Order: sequence, then C-alpha cells, then structure tokens
Amino acid sequence: MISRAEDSPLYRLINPESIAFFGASNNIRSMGSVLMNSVRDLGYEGRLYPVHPREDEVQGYQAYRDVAGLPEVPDLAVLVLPTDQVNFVLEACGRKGIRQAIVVSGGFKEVGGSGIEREGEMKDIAARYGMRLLGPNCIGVANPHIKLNTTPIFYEGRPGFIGLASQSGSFITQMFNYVARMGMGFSAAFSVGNEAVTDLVDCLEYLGACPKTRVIALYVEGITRGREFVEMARSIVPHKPIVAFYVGGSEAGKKAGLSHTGAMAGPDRLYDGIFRQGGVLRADNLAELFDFCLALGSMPLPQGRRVVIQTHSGGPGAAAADACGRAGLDLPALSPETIERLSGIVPSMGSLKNPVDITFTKDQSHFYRDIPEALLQEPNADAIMTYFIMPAQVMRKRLFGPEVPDDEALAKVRELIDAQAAGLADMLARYRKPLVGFTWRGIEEDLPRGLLDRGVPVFPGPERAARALAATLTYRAFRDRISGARDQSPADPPAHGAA
Amino acid sequence: MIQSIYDSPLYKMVNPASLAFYGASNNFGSMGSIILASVKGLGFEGPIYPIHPTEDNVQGYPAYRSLDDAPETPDLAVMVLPTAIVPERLEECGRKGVRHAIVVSGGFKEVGEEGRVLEGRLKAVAEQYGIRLLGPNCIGVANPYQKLNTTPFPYLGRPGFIGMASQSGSFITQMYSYLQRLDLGFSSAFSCGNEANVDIVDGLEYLGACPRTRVIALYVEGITRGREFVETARAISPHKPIVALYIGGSESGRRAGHSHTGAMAGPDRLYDGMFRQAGVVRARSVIELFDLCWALGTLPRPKGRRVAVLTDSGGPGVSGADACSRAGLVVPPFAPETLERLRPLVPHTGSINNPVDLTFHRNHMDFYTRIPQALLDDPETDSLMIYFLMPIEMMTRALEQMGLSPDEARAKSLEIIEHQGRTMAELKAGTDKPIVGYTWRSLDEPFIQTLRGHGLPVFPGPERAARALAALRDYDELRRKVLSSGTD
Repeated sequence: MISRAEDSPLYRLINPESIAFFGASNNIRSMGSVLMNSVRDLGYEGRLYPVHPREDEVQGYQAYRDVAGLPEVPDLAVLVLPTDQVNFVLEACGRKGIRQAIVVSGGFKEVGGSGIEREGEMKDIAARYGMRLLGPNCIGVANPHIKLNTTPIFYEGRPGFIGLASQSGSFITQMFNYVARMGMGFSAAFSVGNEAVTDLVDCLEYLGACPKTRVIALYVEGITRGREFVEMARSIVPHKPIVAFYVGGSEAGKKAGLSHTGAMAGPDRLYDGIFRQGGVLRADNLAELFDFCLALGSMPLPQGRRVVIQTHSGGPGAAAADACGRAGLDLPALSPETIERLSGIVPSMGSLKNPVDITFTKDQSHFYRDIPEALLQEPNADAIMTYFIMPAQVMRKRLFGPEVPDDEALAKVRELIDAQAAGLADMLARYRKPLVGFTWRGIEEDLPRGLLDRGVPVFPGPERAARALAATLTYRAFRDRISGARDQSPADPPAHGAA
Repeated sequence: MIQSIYDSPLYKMVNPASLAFYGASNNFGSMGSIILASVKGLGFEGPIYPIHPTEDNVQGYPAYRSLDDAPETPDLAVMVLPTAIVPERLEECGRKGVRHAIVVSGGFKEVGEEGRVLEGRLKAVAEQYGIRLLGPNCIGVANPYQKLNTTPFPYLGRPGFIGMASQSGSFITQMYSYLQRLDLGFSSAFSCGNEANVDIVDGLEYLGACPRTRVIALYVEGITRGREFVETARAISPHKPIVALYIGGSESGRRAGHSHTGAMAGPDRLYDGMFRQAGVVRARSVIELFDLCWALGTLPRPKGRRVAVLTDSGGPGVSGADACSRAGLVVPPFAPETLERLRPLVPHTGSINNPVDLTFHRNHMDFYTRIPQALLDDPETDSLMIYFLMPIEMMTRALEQMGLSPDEARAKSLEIIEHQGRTMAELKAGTDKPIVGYTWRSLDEPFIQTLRGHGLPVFPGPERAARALAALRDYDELRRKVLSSGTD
C-alpha cells in the first residue's frame, strides 16, 4: 500500500503533462477523433500531439507523421487505431521512451483466437519497455481535476470525490451526466478494459492514495487477482470506503461479461465472500453504486441504526418507515424533551411519533429549521431521513396572489427555496449527524438541487435513501473490524459538505 | 361486480356537476383555499358554491353563509374544516339533499379515542342521510377528464389511464409531476383516508368499471374488508391489471401506517397470499408501482420470460443481462437464422450473441431498425430490451463541427431524433412482442422524450425495465390462474 498518489505507477498515466494521440483525424465521426475532441473540450492544459500519417493539422493541433518526430517524449500515448496497427505503434512509442499508454482499440483477448496472441505480443512489448498500459478494449481515463478526459462523451459538471475503476468504459463516460445530476463528480476514473497490464487492483491502489478521492467505486465483471484485491482493499478501507457493483453472479451476467471483456466471473456467494473479507460494500445495481457513493462521500457516518423520519405527509412517511424497516434500520421513539420541544410546532393532526409528521404548516422554517434542529439534538436518533417536496410553481401559487407578476413571484420563491436549502445545509454542517433526503420529484428541481449542491444527499424515493444510509453503517462495521479501532477516522467527512 | 360506472355509488363523487366547498377563504395560504385553487386551476366547469361565515366572495365565486342559501343542491360537498364542526356541517349537507361528500379534515380515528368518537358521529350522519362519504383525513379525488382535482397540488399533464385508489392522498397529489415526466396521467384517483364510509374496495370497484382506466394502482396500508377485496379484484383482474404497493408488512411500516390512517396491517405473507388469490401484482415501492402501471397499461403481454437485449456498449449490456436474470427473466441464445442476420450488421469487436453489443455505430439504421427487427423476428425470445443513449449535445456538437450553425445543428439533431423515434414506433406497431428501453440519462433528454412520445417506455436503469417486463409475465400468469379457478 502506497501512501502518496505520486508513488503509484499509474500516477503519470492519469496525470500526464503531455499526450501523443494516435487515431484522431479531421473526420470527426471516427472514434479516435471523438476521443480527442473530448480531451480538447474539457480544456486539457498539457501538450497534445496528434500523430497522423498524412495530415499536417488535426482538430487545430499540429500533427506529426510518426512518434519518432515528436518534439519531446510525451508522458502518455493514447492509441485508437485499427487492431492490426496497435502493436507496431506501441513498439515505436516504447522506442521513443514513452512509459504510459492507453490502448482503446478492441479486437484482442475478448474476440478469442488470434486476438489472444495479439494481446500476448502487446504485453511483451509493454514489459520490454517498462510501460504502464491501460486496456486494450477500454476507453481510458478521466481526471477532471486536471481537465483530462480521454473518453467518448464530454465531461459534465464539477470535478468531484468519486474515484472509479471500471471493467466497462461506458460506466465512466456514459455516467458523467448521471453523476452530475446527482450533484457529484469524479475525482479520477479508469476504464481497465482487458487488463493486459494494469488491472482493477492497480487502480484501486492509486485511488486509495488519491487525495481527491473520498470514496471508491468499482464496476466488476470478474476479478483475476483475488488475493491481491482483498489485501489492497483491506489496506484502504480503514480510511476510505469502497463500493462495488458485481454483475457476474447471475447466469446471464456471467455469460455477457465473458463476451464483453473475457472476464472470468464466479458465483455471487464467492464474490460476497471476497467483498466481505476486503471490507468492500456491494451495490445491487449501478444506481445504487452511485447512491452509496453519495451517502459515503457527503455526510458523516451515523453512530448507530436509529433513524427519525421527518415528513409532512402520512403516506410518504409510512413508505419511508417501511423502507427503513426493510433496510434493517430502527425507528426509535422520540425522547420526552424532543416531544415537549416539538409539541408547539407539530399540530394535533400531525404526529410526534416516528415518523414525525407535521401534516401542514404555513411557516416553512418549522420544517426546514426547527424540526431538523430538534432531531439533530435528539439523543435517540443517529440519523434523520427527511421527505422533501417544495416545487417552485406550487409555492408561487401559495405565497403570492395573482396580482404579483409570475417572473417576480417565481424569482422570490426560488430565493426562498434556496435560502431553506442553505439554512438546512449550514445547520447540518454544525453537527456530526447525517441527514438523508428523499423525493419523487425530479432531483433537478430547485430544492433537491440546492441541497445536493451543498452536500446534502437527496435520493429518488425512500427505498434508495434507506439503503444508502444502511450502507454507511455497513461501512462503519467493516472499517472497525479491519482497523480494529473504534474511533472516528480522520478521513471521514466531519459533517455534510459538497465536493 | 358492477357493469357500468353509472351503477357505482361513487359515480357522482368523481363526476359531480356541481360543488359546495367548505373551508376555503381569500387567505390563499390555508389548506382549504389551496384546494379550492386546485379545483379552479384545472378549470372545473360546473358551478362552485363556497360556504363561508363572513365573506361574500371567495376566490372570485359568490360565497354563501350556509348551504341552505345556495341556489341548488350540489352533487358533492368538499369539507376542509376544523375537526369539531365537521359533523354538524355534514348534517347541513344531508338536510339539503347532498348525497356525496369529501371530508379532507383530519383529527378523527387516526389521533385516538376522542377522534374515534367524532368519526362515529360522522358515520352516523352519513348513514342517516344516505351520504357516500370519502375520508375523513383524505385529500379527495382527481378526475382530470372532468377537470376535477380536489387535492392540494395543481394537476399537471394530460388525463391518463392509471386509476388509483390510495390510502395516502400524497401518492395522488404529490405524484402529478412524477407522472407527467413519464407522460403518464390519472384516469381517476381516490384518496380514501380513514375509510369511514367509502373504502379502497369501493374505489377498486369503480375503477374496474371505469372505461378510461386501463390499469389500477393501489397504495395499501391495511385492508379491512379482505374477502370483498379479493372478490372484487378477481372480477376485475382478468380484464384489467391491478398493481398494489403494500407497506404494512414490515414492523416499522405497520406502525407508521397505524398512526397515519389507523389502518390495521398484517404480515407480508398474508398480503402476498391475498394479492395472489386476487390476481393483483405486488410492487415494492412507489416508483415500481407506477413503472408496472406504465408497462401493464401500454405493452402487449409476452409469450414467455425470454428477453433479447440490445446495446451499443458492453457494460450496459452485461448489467442489462444481469438485471433480467435477477428479475426472473432469461437471456437465451438466439436462433441460428437470427445470428446469420446479425453477423453483417455488427462489427467484429462487438457481439452478436445475447446481449447484442454493437460497440460502435457504423450506420444508425442498423441499431434502430435492422438489428431490432431481427431480434423481434427471433423465435427464441419473447421480448426486447434496448439500451438508449443519444445525448443531444453530442449530436449538435458533431454537426456544428461539420459547419452547421448552433440553431441549425439543434434543429437537425431534433429531426434525426424524431426520425429514430418514428422508426422505433414502426417496429413497435409491427410486433406483438413488448419492447422496453433503459437509460441512465435524464428522462428530460430529447431522445428519451421522443421515444416515450412514440409509446416506448424507457426506464431509468435496466433493473426497472427488467422488473417491468417480468411483471407483464407475472400478470399474465396470475390472470390465467384467476380465470381457470373461476369466479365465485
């Protein structure tokens, strides 16, 4: 286990100061051009050298006929070439002195037959020149903190705290939009492809040491170095959570994975064992993978499994209670002091049991300040789960009459909603108790947006909120078991906070 | 089982020609005013008579001191009043000849003994005058076809095909925006509240006969008339699917439901048995409830559990296959003739096996026409699940680089998207197999909107798509069982 990201053999691969790019042209539909366009779009600040057999200029950059003619030895070569040219060019890169390469091209181990031989040759070349190689059959890396994205789809949103190592490139590049909508971003992401040289375990090591990464996400079709995986994970988990989505456990998932990257999958039970031993949380699907990252990366860990639900509607409260029960969380009764304190706020129609149901209030600060504050101080609660719904259009009708012009009223309503979100987030930052929100409205709406952008997680539906909250407790248990320590780790987010 | 909705005692409650409204004022922050604003907002076309002790005019309608002063006997009275005065006001309605009432006010059975006594009085008044009463502690009804919405949130979107009876009003009114984003809508919806007089079984019976309702959604905290529920559902489920979300099965759900509407819940396995016997498909969350309604209300029933999965990316294909497996579906090998048809359409780096993985589009028509057509013709599979990803920004940026202006690029992109959408619609029209999509992009993405507009459900994530396909099959099996065991 390394202590600094700079000590990782992958450091230069994902933090290159200069890149040679093979396979991009001025035909913008080709895969190589699409990838180089992504690099350009995010505003990569290092030096970029397209290599092209005929063009003098590619996408506005001066092009070079071959790698030997480059004005310097770049840190990284990206190859998006026809399969049969890859090894030849890779060898030329080695001779030039390039020590990091990403091979995007497919047609190797995953197609069988001569593909397996070609991949063997590639490994030999890499070994001969001491090259760290990612792929083949991958889409490379994203490191938004240095404005680098070698993947087909443009990076969206901010740099963030999720470090991802994925056996599918799609789950990096096709998730930029999804992750941004959840108010998050990647710290660094690796698409490992066929893992000819660099595998999931290597990436895990880098991400464990990467200071921008608060939580590690893995997409797994099959782990080859099982023992190293467990050891590596165990060295990271005491200070950083790891979440994995494994698809090879079902019959159909296993077969599909084999034809995708040639991964050898094992039964669910085997992987459950590996993950448990490594202290790695298992997510059931991709949405859950990122849900767990959101909870683990943005809020303090709960001290126990007692949750108080806060709602203003009975059904959503009951559905949340059911979801908590099914996720293994407890719903304690409120202490007499809290009941006393809230009895002036919650009307007789409402409920001071758990869920706390205010039913209806004209004063929004009851719901966004007074109740959460009382619950943050409630000795019987380890966490709070809150139902959020405050659509601007509806608030506009409730707060302003028809005589107030729409745009003026809406602007005021948006201001008010943002103030509630800001107030709640500020208050949460003063406590070491987590709050998870849920809603069925779009997470793009003002209130969830205002909360997510301030590091308060809001999930679509209570089931996802409850499972994410329960996952933080599982992490806590794994961490304590592995580290043997019971104290708070310095790496925990001390309170709610955005990236 | 009634043959026509006109025979339902609830008909006038959901289709009133006129309303008396108690509890609205010109203070538009109060609950009564909010609800009247919803009624007004959707444009209810019949006369509305607000009853108010002091105001002469409420939200633009002439107001009356008492219902006795109103010029006619309205079909329905809506009450959003302080708990204590509800029974006497209901009595006033009874005397005037009103036969349908919605009591929104809470503070009855759900708050304890005192409330229980008050609810008893309410029931007695209703029985004395033959009033069908919805609630108390409910938010009433929505019937967008009649432009009626007595709930706190404004109705959004179009009238639709989901008929809902719910033991939580929130799952009607707070779901309008959710359903609108999926291009879905309610045909009619009842919030049953404490079920003092009208219960979820009455709501179910109405929806079974309602011609605008293609699928029935139930939110259940506890069913009191279990036997009548099963009988009514069995009469409906063979010709109209019913989906239920039951939250009383966990200890915490049971307790929360009890404090919410005073419902008496039972263990999961009791309700599982009841639902199975009744031919009702069980959903595990609110989101799944509406996913299953979407699928059951729009898609043909597949002949079996075998799915063809089509993607242009490895990972989404693998997780699609995994999701199918975990939902109880099968992802089998294709027939040899299907493989022959696929071979020239898929690059050598892709896969012609199930899931089909194109890896890279050489020609858009392959992914949107030729390949899905080959998969729909495949004799070894019963349904088709497709991964959709086509961010409009990617298209417009590519077109801009080809020299188009931003406006031209946007217009051209939308044109391409519309073309692909029409192509999918043609495929759908030419097959009796269900087609579902999945994506991780926003549901507001233009391509996803277009596909939805052409009648293709696209779900967020493969798990939800797979679960919806599985529910189509579950429903078919439940339906056969109900039909073969005969109705009592």
